[in-house]
Amino acid sequence: MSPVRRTTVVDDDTWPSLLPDLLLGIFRRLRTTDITRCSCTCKPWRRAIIGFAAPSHLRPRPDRFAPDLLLHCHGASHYYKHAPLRRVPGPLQSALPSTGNHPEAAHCFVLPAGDRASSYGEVLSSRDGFVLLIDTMRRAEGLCLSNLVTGACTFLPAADVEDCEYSLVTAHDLSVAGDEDDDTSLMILAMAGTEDTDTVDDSRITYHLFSLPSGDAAGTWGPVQRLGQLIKGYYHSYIEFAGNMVVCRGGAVHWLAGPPERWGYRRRLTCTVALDVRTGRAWTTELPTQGNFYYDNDRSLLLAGDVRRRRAVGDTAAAETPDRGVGAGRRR
Amino acid sequence: MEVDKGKGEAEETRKVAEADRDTVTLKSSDGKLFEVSKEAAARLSTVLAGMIAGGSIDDNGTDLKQIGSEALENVVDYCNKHANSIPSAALISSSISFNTAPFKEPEEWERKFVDRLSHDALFDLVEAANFLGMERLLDVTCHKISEMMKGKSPDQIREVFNIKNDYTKEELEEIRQELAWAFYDD
Repeated sequence: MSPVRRTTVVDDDTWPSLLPDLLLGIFRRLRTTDITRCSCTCKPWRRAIIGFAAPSHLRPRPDRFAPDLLLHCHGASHYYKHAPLRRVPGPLQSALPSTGNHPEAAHCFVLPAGDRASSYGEVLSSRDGFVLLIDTMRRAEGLCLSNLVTGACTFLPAADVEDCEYSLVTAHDLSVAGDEDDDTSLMILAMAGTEDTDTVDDSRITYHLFSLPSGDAAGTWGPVQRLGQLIKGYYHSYIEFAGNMVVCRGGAVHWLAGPPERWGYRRRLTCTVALDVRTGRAWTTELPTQGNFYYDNDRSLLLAGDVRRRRAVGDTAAAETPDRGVGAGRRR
Repeated sequence: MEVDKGKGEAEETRKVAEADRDTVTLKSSDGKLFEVSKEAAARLSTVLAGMIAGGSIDDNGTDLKQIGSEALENVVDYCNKHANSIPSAALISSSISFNTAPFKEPEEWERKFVDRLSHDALFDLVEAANFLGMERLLDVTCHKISEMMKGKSPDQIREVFNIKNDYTKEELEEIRQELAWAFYDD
């Protein structure tokens, strides 16, 4: 710790010169709106805030994504889930930490205003201030993991699973509640229902797990895994995941799922599928049959204990099964 | 934290220097001397606890060159007040590090203690608390400072903390466009 030198003269750089550790101790007591305002007051504070904007240091929102922490402009148009992102680097770029191995990548999805042909324009998943993007036209080419706070982008190969849904799992999701540390490791889960063409192994779900350790180490995709017998004796031969709306809790990713579309029928959601990314253990929880959950409903998945999220969603038709504490809600 | 001595020897030391045993003398950067209860100092400050345990306490005044007399007076005042208040269980736990500990609300007397300070004194105190490893005092001062920031626009924060706006007009315009909602006057 640097020595404290102090004068009693009222100085206009007194407070900006406060040690970053102490600034952090103060800022972490504030909500993100106040933190952002502090970042606008002077450059040393802004530097401290951006430097410490690692998700583990700031109290996250219940869904652990803090869009109001964004210190740059990220415009997204909400046309279905295709959201061309427009990031405008400002003159304050110099105050930002280095973007690491991809210095040029920070601008990779900057588009001229009005241009909709975005590469890496589709948002697959967002957690803890990270977004996972894919190029809709060239899905096989890979993924772009962007840290919205620093603007750093990392390019990753795509998962080796066809028609999969992606979900980001951060260290925060893996840790026990309240146990925050500096771990910035990430996992990406790619999951897809598999058509039951091979009756021998009876595979129902295929998943692929990518781990990106903290630090500069490169991440890798593990082997493609298959899970069978998850939905025993069900009338449908395979399931489809209902988009990338997921709940991550205690290392497990929960998806809403149901049978594939049949001609003339609305697609129903019949179960939740959960996969613990740490152990590979998977389980399903059937939704109550008296509730009709459809794919095209405005739907939400929530877990018991996720009370704040539940309140925020404001669902009225939540149904919970006590054994797993998993429920699905829908809104009209 | 006590010096690890044989019981008999400790008894003897106590008889010889009864007055010295209960207090520590601290010397500010500008040479002023302050007496503080040894027990409170060791309990509240990890740095002082280390010095007491390590025997590097000077009877003629332990030099704390980093801390001015005004700040040291506040530190000593805080220690003495703390020694007189009934410590609640939350205050004693010292194993949790500052930056990961859950927030502890300041107690009423602690609130009053920091409320009466000028901004400069508060600044000096938070740095002194940091230097001396006084977690609880850091909690209290950081809480107070964060309270002073809450719900204010950037301009108001600058005014409160007497911060010179070091952004250029262009940079500020850029931020203003990005974060229009963060400015109240728009």
